[in-house]
Amino acid sequence: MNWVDFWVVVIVVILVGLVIFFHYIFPHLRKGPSTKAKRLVKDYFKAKKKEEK
Amino acid sequence: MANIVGLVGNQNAGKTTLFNALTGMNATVGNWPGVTIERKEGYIKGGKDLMLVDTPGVYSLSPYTSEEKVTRSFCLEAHPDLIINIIDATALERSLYLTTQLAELSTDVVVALNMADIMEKNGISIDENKLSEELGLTVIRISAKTGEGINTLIDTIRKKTYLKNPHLKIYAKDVQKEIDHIEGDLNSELEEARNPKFASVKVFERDPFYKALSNSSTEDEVKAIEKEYGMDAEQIIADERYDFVTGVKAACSYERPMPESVTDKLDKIFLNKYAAIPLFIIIMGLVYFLSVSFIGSICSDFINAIFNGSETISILYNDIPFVCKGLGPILGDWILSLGGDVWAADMIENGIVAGVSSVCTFIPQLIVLFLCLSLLEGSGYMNRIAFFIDQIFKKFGLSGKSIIPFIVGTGCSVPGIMGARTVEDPDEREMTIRLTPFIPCSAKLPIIALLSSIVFPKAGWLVSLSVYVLAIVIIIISAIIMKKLFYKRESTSFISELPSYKLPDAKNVYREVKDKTVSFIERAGTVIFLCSVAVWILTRFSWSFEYVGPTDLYDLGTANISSSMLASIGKGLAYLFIPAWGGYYSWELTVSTIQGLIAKEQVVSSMSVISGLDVNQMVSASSSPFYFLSSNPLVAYSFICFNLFSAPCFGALAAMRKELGSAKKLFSTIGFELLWAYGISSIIGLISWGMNGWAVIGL
Repeated sequence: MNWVDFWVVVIVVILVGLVIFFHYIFPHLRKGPSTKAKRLVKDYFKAKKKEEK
Repeated sequence: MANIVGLVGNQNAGKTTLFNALTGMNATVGNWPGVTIERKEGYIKGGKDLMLVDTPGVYSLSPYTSEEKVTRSFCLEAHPDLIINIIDATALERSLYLTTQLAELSTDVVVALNMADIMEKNGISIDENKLSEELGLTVIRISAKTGEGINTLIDTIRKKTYLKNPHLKIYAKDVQKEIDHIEGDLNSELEEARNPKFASVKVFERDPFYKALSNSSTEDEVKAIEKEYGMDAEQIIADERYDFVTGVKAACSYERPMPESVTDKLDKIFLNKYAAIPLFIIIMGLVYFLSVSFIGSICSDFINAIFNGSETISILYNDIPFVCKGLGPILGDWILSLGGDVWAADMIENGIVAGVSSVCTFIPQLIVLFLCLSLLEGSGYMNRIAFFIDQIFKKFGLSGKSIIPFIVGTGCSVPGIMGARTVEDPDEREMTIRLTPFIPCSAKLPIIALLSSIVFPKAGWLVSLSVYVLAIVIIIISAIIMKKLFYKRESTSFISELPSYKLPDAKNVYREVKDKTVSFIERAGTVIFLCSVAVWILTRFSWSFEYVGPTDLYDLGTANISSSMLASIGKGLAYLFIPAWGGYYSWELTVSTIQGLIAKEQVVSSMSVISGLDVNQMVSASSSPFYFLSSNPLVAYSFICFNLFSAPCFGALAAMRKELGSAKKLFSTIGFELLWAYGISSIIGLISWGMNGWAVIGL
C-alpha cells in the first residue's frame, strides 16, 4: 500500500465514520424538549401510552 | 415557560395547513381525512411562549379510532391553555357539533372559521359576529391556504382578547336541570371532574370513562328523562346538540342556490360505477408512463452521465469533460495517475460512485412519480378512489380506509403502515398493516425502472403498471385468505367526506415532492453509501483477505469475484432461487436480492458494485453476470416480483413491529410475504425454465 492508497482509505474511513455518527449516533444523543410545555406534552403522551399498554 | 395551544377540528378541515401557517413549519398536508395521525408541536410565530399542538381530526369527543383517542386525551387530560377550534365554513353544521363539546370544557376556545375563500365561491355567506354571539366564543374568519385572517388570529391569541366562559343553551330545560344537578354533586377532587360541565354531560350520557362520578340518585333521574323522551341518554344529548347546531346555522348563514358545481360534474365521471376503475388504471398507467418511461428516463440518462459518463452525451456536449467522462472514471483515473493501486481506484469508481450513483440515477423518475401522486392527492381524486374501492374491498374483508395507507405506501411503506391507525376495527387495522408493504414503494422503483426499461424497452411503463395491478390482486387474495383463516369478524363501513376537487396547492405539492426527494437522497448518501462500501469489500476480498477484484481498472474480466466472501455466502443460497430465476444459478442476483432487506434501493446498487458497471450496462453488457436477464424477460419479471413482494426493508419492518405490537405477528407477516414472493416468482421462473428446456445454467 503506497501513500495514495493510504489516503484514499483514510478518506473513505472518515466518510464512513461521519455517516455512522451523524446518521445513527448523533440523533440519539441530541437532548429532547427544552421548554416546560414541550416536556409536559411529551411526558403526558408517554404516560398515556404506558397506561394504554 | 410556554403555554400550550391545541389545534382541534374535524378531519380535512385544514388543521395542518393552519398549523403550518401559524408556526411557519412544513408538516405534511393532504386533501383527505386522516393525514395527521400523531400530534405535532411547533411555536406560534412571534416568540417561543406559545406552543401549538396539532391533533388528529375528530368529529366529536367520543372517540372510536386510536388517533381520535389522542385528540380526546389531549383536550381532556393535557389541559391546554387554549384550544383553537378550526371549523370548515363549507360544512358548518357538521363542524359545530364538536364546537358544542369543546365549549363545555374548562379550557378557553377560539373558533377559526376556515376556507373563507371556498365558502364564497360555493355561495355560502356566514355572519361571523352573529355566530360568535350564538356560541359565546370569539370567531375569526380565516383562509389557512391564502393566509387571510391569520395575523388577526395570532394577535387575538397573543393579546388574549378572546371571549371566555361561554354559556351555551343547548339542552331542553329538564335535561339542563339534571345536568346542573349532576354538576353540583361532582366530586371535584377526582381527575375526571376537572372539566365539570363536560363531565356532567358525560355522566348523564353514562360514558364509561366517567363512571366514577355517577351515583344511584342520578341514575334514577336519567332513567325518568329517557322514558319521557323515548330514547337513551346519549341519543338525547346528541339530538339536543344537533338541534342547537341547526338553529345556530339557520341564524348565521345563508346559502345561495348554485348551479351544478364542477365537483358534481367531475364526480359523475370519476365515480361512475363502470368508468371509475378503468379510469383509475388509465391514470396510474399515465403516471408510470411519465415517470418511468418518458420524462423521468430522459433525465435519468443525464444523471447517470454525470456519475459514470456517457458516449451519447459526450457527442452532444464534447466540451464538458465532466459530463463526457463522468465523476467515477475521473476519480479512478486521477488516483491511478497519482500512483495509486488499482484496488484503491476500483473502490472509489466501481464501489462507492457506482453504488451510490445507481440509486441517484433514478431521482428524476422519482420526482416525476412524487409530483404526479401529490397532484392526484391534492386535487381530491385519491379520496374518491378510496371511496369507490371501499365497495370492492368490503367484499373481501378490507375497509375502504385501508386504501389511504396503501396510497401513502406508494411513497414509502413506513408512513403507510403508520397511517393504518386511521382504521377503526383492530382486525382490519392489522390486515392493513400486514398488506401495505405489498404496494410498490418509491425505493422499489429503481428495480422496476431498471429492468422494465432494459428488458421491455418499448413497454417499460406497462410493466410498472402491471406490477401495481398485481400488487392490488395480491392484496385482495391475501385479504380473503386472512379473513377466512384469522379475522372472521364482519367488515366495517368506510365513512368519509369527499372534499371538493381543487387545484392542488403549489406550495404543498412542492413541499411534499421536496421532502420525499430529500429523504431519498439522504438514504442514498447514508445507507446506500455504507452498503456500497461493505459490498465492495465483500466482493473484492476473499476470506483470507486476499484482493480478488480487477487488476486492470478497464477490464473487469481480470477480477476473480467468484472467490470473494460475498460469493461464498451467496453460492449456498443461490440453490434456493434456481426455480425463481428460471433455472439460472446466480449467486450475484441472490445476494443482491437479500440486500433488499436493508433497503430496497440497495438491490440495484449491489448489482452495480458486483458487476462494476453502471445502470445502463449492468444488464445489457455481455460481460455482466446479470446479462442473462436481458434475454429472459420472464426471469427479469420474476426478479421484479420477488423484490416487490418479499419482506420490506428494515425501516418498514420496525414500523410493522411497533404497529402490530408483537414480534410473533411480525414474523408471521414476514413469512407470509416471503411465501407470496417466492411462490409468484417461482411460478414465473418455472414457466421460463420449462421454455428453456429445464437445464440448470451456471452451476
